[in-house]
Amino acid sequence: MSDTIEGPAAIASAPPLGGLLDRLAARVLPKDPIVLKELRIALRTPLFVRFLYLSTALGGLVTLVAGAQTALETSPADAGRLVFHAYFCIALLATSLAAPVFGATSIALERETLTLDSLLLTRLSAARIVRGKFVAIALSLALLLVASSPIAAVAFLFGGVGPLEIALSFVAVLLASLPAIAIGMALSSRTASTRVTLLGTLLVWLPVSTLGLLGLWAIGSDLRRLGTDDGPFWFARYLPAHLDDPRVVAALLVAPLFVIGMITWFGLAISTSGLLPATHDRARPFRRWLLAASIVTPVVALLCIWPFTRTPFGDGVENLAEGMLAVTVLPAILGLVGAFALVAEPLVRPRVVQAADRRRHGIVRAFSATFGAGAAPATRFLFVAFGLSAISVTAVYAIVHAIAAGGVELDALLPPLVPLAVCTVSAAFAASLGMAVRATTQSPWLGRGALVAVTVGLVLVLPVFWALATGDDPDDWMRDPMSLGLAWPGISIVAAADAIDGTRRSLAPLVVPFVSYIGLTAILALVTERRAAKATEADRRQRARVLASAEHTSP
Amino acid sequence: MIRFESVTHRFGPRAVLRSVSFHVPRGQVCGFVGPNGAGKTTAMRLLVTLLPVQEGRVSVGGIDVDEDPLEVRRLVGFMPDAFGVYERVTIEEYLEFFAASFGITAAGRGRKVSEVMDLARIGGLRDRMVSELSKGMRQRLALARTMLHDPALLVLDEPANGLDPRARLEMRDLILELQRIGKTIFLSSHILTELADIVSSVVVLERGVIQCSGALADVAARAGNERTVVVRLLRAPDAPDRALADLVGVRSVELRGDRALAISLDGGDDLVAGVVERLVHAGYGVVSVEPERSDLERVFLRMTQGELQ
Repeated sequence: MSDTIEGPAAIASAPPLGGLLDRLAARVLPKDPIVLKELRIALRTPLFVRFLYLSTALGGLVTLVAGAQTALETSPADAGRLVFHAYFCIALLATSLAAPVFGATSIALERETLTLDSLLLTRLSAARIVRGKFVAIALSLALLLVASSPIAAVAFLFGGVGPLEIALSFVAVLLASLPAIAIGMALSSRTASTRVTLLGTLLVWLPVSTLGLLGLWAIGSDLRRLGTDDGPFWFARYLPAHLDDPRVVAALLVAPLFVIGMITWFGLAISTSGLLPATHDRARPFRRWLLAASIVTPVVALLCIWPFTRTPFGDGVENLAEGMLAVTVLPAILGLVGAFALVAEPLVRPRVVQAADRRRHGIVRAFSATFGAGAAPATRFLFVAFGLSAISVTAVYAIVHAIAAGGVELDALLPPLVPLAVCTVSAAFAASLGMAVRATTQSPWLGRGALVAVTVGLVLVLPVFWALATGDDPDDWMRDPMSLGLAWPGISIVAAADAIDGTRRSLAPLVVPFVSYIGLTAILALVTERRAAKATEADRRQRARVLASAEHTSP
Repeated sequence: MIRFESVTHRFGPRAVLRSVSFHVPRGQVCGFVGPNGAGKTTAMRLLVTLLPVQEGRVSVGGIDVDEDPLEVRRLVGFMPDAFGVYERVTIEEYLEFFAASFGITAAGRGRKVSEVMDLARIGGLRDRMVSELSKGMRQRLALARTMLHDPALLVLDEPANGLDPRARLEMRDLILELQRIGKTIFLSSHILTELADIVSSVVVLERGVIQCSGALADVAARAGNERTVVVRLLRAPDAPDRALADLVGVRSVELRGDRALAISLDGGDDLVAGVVERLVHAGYGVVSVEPERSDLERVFLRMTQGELQ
């Protein structure tokens, strides 16, 4: 190997310039080779430049016409606000179109133009390639916004809009485009055709962004009584003025940033695993995301709900318990999402992982072998994710509850924890069934099918069937300890809500389905373990046989 | 340097490689030949870690490609048969990008890029946009890219595919130059006449099964001594077969055009010398003696039926 080769972390690119200007350029220009390459190609693409001109011109025209028209009829300040909202709506629309397009073409186009293989054979890791492409697309979008920013300044001519509002709105538009880029890249890494990826991404993202914008507008209109105006970017004025209100911080800052961050991370994790060769531990980026999402999401959700449960909205402790009911399904949902992805894990652990484990030390090796790549470790990992998710949200709920109640009140604390446990174990059952079906049939899609079928069955079919068959009201199901209706995870939420209201005293009948789900989950997990062990042993024998015969025949 | 051990690979139920075993020693130029669809590209993609090994073992320099693919990638430079290049960058920017991606320090990058551009003879085009390059120039650029991280093994899948005759000759010279500087080269090609001039060993694959492998001379010997030589004479022969009638090993003599003979032989170079001697003795001036097919072509035709999978 040449002595000029350095580690991946030190890979950098400096512009071939000299002098003070060059040093400045070297500081400003991106250091990452992927970012630099992507920006070069994007900025030299005629389509990008045309889109830049067109969006700026159209945005400017619409904004100016709307502003001039309004200025004749209303006060200049109102016209300024209209210009502000019009400009940022157009900017959001433009980035909502551009971000998925850039994301969707980023990897699929490399595959289509046959440049991906040479890129994958460099020393850049898949994560680094994905990160570089993501940053480059975000920078391109920021450039689009910056290029059109003089239009936003027109609002200043009329007045009624502050610089902080404009800056916050720019950040919001850019942040809103990040999940679109990540989703586009995720689809792009999984499909061979750019057209399919483009279509898929736009089909997913355009409704999401349109509904998001309308929802934002509706919330703004609803909050008019609290002193905001009607446009969709009302939060840019409202948020800085209400930073002392924890409800505003939770709803307008923490929750949106968390959701954007987790969706973006999810998309990037899927993209990274899509770029990894089949010989690698392809689920690793996703496992990291799932672990973080499982632990943090329910906790953040509970913490965001908490401010809204306090006075003047009624009794704080009771409201908190009801708020917690909404959070009880999150560990189950996240675990099922994880199972859907991890069900494709191979029965035999990839050889690259086995070889890497041999080079590792005790605890790291044991951890990798227990919860790393492969169907059996993936099943164990899912159980850990389910467990940690439930434990973390329980711990935070107990602390918040103790603060709200001024001490620990077990009777009031326990009811929401029962549906949390029931929903989590029933989801774990569905997940382990999917994994067991995959392990038995060797087909990831049959495994996924079983997973989805059982989930739909538990959530929708079971209560409908039971209600139609028995004619019972769900309230009656709790009275018969042998009722199959108790197997419906939703009954635990209904019963817990009653318990919080004081209309129901005991949640004891839910112990039977809870224990049943645990038992079934354990049996299915054992099936996966045995299948994986058999497949691993068969692979070991076959490899030994092949190598032995190769030694005889080798020239 | 390269070792395939009982490698079987399937796409769905169809096996494209069946218990493939061969090895290529360090420093050799090895030709990987076989009809279309024989499984050559699949084998090459296994070798460069772009496909997982399903059964058997593939190693490069003693390193299992499945166990340490990153280390294998350091050792291997791969030029696929169908490849793309980034269009909107200059040649220098393109190579700078890959040099950075291979982890070559900023200090050494310029020198390395210049080195490979000179080696691939594209040094004068460093500011030319890639989109403006001809197919031959793109092949050279791709070859330059594969050499950036100084790999010990170059895997070239149809490197001369689609090139004009001049570009092919230049590519051949380039490969010989790379061998001279110590690289092991594993290349597939359909143009056997050109491959025959540069390869020292050969692996013949058909329908996913190795037909023969080893040093070219050994494989040619194993394929038998049957051959046809074309002898050009100074003047038109009147009864050439009479001159060669009692020479052991001469199977048939056929007139080609006015002044050339296609002589089918079953023997080595001694027999060819004997034929020439007889013809000269009989009064025919011998202008040239050429094999109708190269050793590689003979081996290929002998060992394969041209069946597609």
